[in-house]
Amino acid sequence: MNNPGVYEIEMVKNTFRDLIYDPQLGGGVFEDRAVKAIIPGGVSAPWFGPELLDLPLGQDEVGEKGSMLGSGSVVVLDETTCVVRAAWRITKFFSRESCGQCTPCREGSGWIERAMYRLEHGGGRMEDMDLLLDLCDNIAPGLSWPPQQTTICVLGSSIPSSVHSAIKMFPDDFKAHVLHGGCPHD
Amino acid sequence: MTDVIRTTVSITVNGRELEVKTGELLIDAAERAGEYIPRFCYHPRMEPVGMCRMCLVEVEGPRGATLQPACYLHVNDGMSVCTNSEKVKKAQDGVLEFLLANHPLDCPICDKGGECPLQDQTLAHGSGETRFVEEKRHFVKPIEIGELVLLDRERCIQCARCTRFSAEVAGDTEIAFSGRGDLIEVAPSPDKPFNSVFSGNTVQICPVGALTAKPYRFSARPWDLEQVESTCTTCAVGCRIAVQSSGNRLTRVLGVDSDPVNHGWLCDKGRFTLDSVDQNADATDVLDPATRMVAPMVRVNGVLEPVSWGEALDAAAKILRDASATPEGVGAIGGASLTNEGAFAWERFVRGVLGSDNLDAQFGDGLDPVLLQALPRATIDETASAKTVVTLTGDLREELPILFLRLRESAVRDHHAIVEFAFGPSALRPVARLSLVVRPGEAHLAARCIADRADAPTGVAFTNEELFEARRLIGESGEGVVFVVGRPNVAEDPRVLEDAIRRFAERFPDAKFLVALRRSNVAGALDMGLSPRLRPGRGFELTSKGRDTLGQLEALRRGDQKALLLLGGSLLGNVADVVGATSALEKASVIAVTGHGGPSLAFADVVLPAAVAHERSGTVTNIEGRVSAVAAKIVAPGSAWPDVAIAAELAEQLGQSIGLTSVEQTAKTIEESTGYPALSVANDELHDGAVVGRLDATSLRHALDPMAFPGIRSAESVGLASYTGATVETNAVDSVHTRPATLDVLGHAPNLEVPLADAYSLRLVVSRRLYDRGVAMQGSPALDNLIKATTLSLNHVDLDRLGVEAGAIVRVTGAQGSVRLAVQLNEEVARGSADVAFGTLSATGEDALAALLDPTSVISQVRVETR
Repeated sequence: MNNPGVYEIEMVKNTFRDLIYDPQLGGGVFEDRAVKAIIPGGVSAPWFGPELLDLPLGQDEVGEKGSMLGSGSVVVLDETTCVVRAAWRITKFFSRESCGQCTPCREGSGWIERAMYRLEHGGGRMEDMDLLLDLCDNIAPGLSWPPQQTTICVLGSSIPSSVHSAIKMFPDDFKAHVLHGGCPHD
Repeated sequence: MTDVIRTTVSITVNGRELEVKTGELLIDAAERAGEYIPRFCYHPRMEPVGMCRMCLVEVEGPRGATLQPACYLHVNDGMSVCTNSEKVKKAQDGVLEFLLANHPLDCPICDKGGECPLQDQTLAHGSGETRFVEEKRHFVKPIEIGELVLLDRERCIQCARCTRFSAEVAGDTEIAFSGRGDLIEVAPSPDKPFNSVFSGNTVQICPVGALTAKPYRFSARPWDLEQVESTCTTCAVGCRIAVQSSGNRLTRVLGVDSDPVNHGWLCDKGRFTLDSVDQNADATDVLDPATRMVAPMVRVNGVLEPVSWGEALDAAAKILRDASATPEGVGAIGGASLTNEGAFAWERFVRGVLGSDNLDAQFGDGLDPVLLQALPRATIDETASAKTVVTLTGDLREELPILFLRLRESAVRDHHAIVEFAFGPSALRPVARLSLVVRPGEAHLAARCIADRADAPTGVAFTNEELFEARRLIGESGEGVVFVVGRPNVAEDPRVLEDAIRRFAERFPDAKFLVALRRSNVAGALDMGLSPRLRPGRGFELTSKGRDTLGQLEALRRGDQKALLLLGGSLLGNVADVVGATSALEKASVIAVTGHGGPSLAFADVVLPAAVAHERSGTVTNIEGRVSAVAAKIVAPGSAWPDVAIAAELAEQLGQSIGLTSVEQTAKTIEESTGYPALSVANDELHDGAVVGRLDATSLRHALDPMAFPGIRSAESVGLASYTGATVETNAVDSVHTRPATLDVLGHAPNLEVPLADAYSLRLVVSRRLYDRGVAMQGSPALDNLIKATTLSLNHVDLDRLGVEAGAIVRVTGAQGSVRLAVQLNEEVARGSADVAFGTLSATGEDALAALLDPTSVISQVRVETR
């Protein structure tokens, strides 16, 4: 972003586009790059594509589209971003955050993190995408929104959001990683 | 309007409607209805935590069916549950896959292989193929976290059974989780090894091979093990156990979940002493308790030589015949290590054949058995559920460990009050509502003050505030109160405690008593009449002039008694005044009937080898009077015989008969002649036995859950431990002799002259330790390093007064000599008193405890000098 920061704006009256492009607010994407994806409300939230830029910033509006405003920390991924790396880093955060009490979160976050690391750094396999989606499903059954969970707390059901979104929205990016034997952006 | 409290609710499980207990856990309710929900972290004897997530089931709720852990959910009326849907199966399979992701899958070299809940679940539900291609988590392979337990963190599935057991059940702090995420690990305390006396339980309940026990590691494969159910006789709690062997070698003891007794738990001494049974059969040093007696022996030219049974019985009969020539010339000491059948046979032998009342199963370190018979008795369950428990015992964790666990649970979980007569250090202190500090020679004064609502006399350790609080907790009549009574200090005249017990019994008629005598089957031996004034089946004969142990030792020293029949070899290891006992044995002709060696055998003229625990069948009686079966799992070494056979043959040799031919027939005779439950216990399918004098002890155990107690095969699958025999038709439990109606039979209470405290002396407390130098410990190399060096424990006030630093070596002088001991600081020792452990000092020699005792006084006092 040109103007990253904390902004207080009225709910529903503004859209993601307003937040990102209004000169008083985000001021547009760095070097006028295109928006690739938006994480609407913290890294627990499923991602949106640029087609939802005109969605109003409201709890219900975002919820209806299958994500959440959550913490209100909107992350914009521009066209140069590697979504595999982004999803891996988010998973790594959750893996470190997991308290380790219950099995799906403790083992699931570590497993997903290691598989994502492999995809990003070489060693990825085509079948890893199905594997990752199934592991996500074993933490948040159905991968629906709002999520179901096999874990004690909602940290578990937060893990799948980024991986699930990235695979679903950008399968070609994953395939490119597999074929390239690592991150093509590097 | 009357509110009806519903004791059941209706739930639907897989479309089937069930009536289940209000408030119970869904996992238990479903299991009873035949719907077994897989689990790892859930254990029926601990609070649920819902951590492993294996027991996820679908529960209908306002927002549709959701996955919830069945172990963490209490049943509600109308609850609808599905345990077998595709969604449930997917979730459970997912959890299992996650658990296996970092598991090393080293089953072929894992002790748990073959009895592993993780292995079993994987075989039942696992996919057979792994999708995990990442590098597994690595830890240093097994680390020794205590003397007996090794931890393999790679195998751990973080179910928290071990850490919960330690914190919740045992109250220990030596192991806990450390780290987070998938790097979480069970970690030992950095400064305290995992040497809890309960450490073996964590190994038993570990659902994988993460925790293994050093004595069992790599010694057998589960499918090679044979098992019988039996009763532990290491102490007098009577925990139910599964005894397992491979060939004729004992390999392992596991705790069986007996609802009225041990809840599946065991102490490490009970669990790991089996080495003492089958090891050292080749050893020859008869003075070493680790040596098994494998052949009869007769002393020839001062040396014990192996002989045939015929020769040995002949020599024994000659001694007894000669000694019986003078009146009261013979007697028997010991018997606490016998079964009820063995004790009954020896009682018949001594009274019937020798015509003597000189017999005693206690070693002068117990209490007056007639007083104990006169008390209204409580069961362990009644004690654990009493609103107030008053303990007049030593440290129960050291004396009767599983009773300690039951009382701790009662205080911590159910918030019942424990009023502790604090004689010395005690593991109950942190959970006791009140610790009433008493020095030696003060317990009866405190009891009188509580009973008579009197103020504390001057100079005592307890305060008026403590007395007030004790009175408040005991109440007016003692209703709902149980007094746990034992022998906290063997350096104190037993009449001090007996006087206190009697005061309480007279003043609080509604109170009950749990008699916490600690040694093995001492309760059964007394019930079988191995005491001068007792008769088999809880009968008594107050006019008896027979001598107890201390009386016999005195008579032997005087020469009035010539011969002594030692039932078990542990007299010198257990009697407080070793010096006096030794000089008595020196003068006597001694016939030792024992399975183990020991210092007493230095004075034996004839040794008759007997079968010991796990080699003999029969019944034993625990502290609460519960009679339960013990089983023979292996064959006794050499030519050792069961006690019934030895007593019968020896009677024969003397030209008489005790009318007993086998263990089965002895049990039948006990039951028919005294009404004491013996044969019916084993035949009744009452795994938990029957309590003498009660008809309510009919708890039939439900099938064992192999997930909760891996390694134990249920009685249903391997059969009962019972021996076969005709079932006794009448319900014999009902017709036990009635006990004395009042305490009046005891006569006047003695006048106890407690010497005045002198400013330079400390009153001596000699307390018991679990890990002592007894037979069980000395024969078990695994436990050897756990015996602590004896120290003199003092309060900081006395340390300061004496000008001594903790750790310093001091000279401790008592009535009969002095010993040198290291000083230890312990604030739980009352000011003005000093605590020394019994049975950790050597029996004879320079550090003998006897030097410190004053047999002429009510209490023993010692002086401490730094030079």
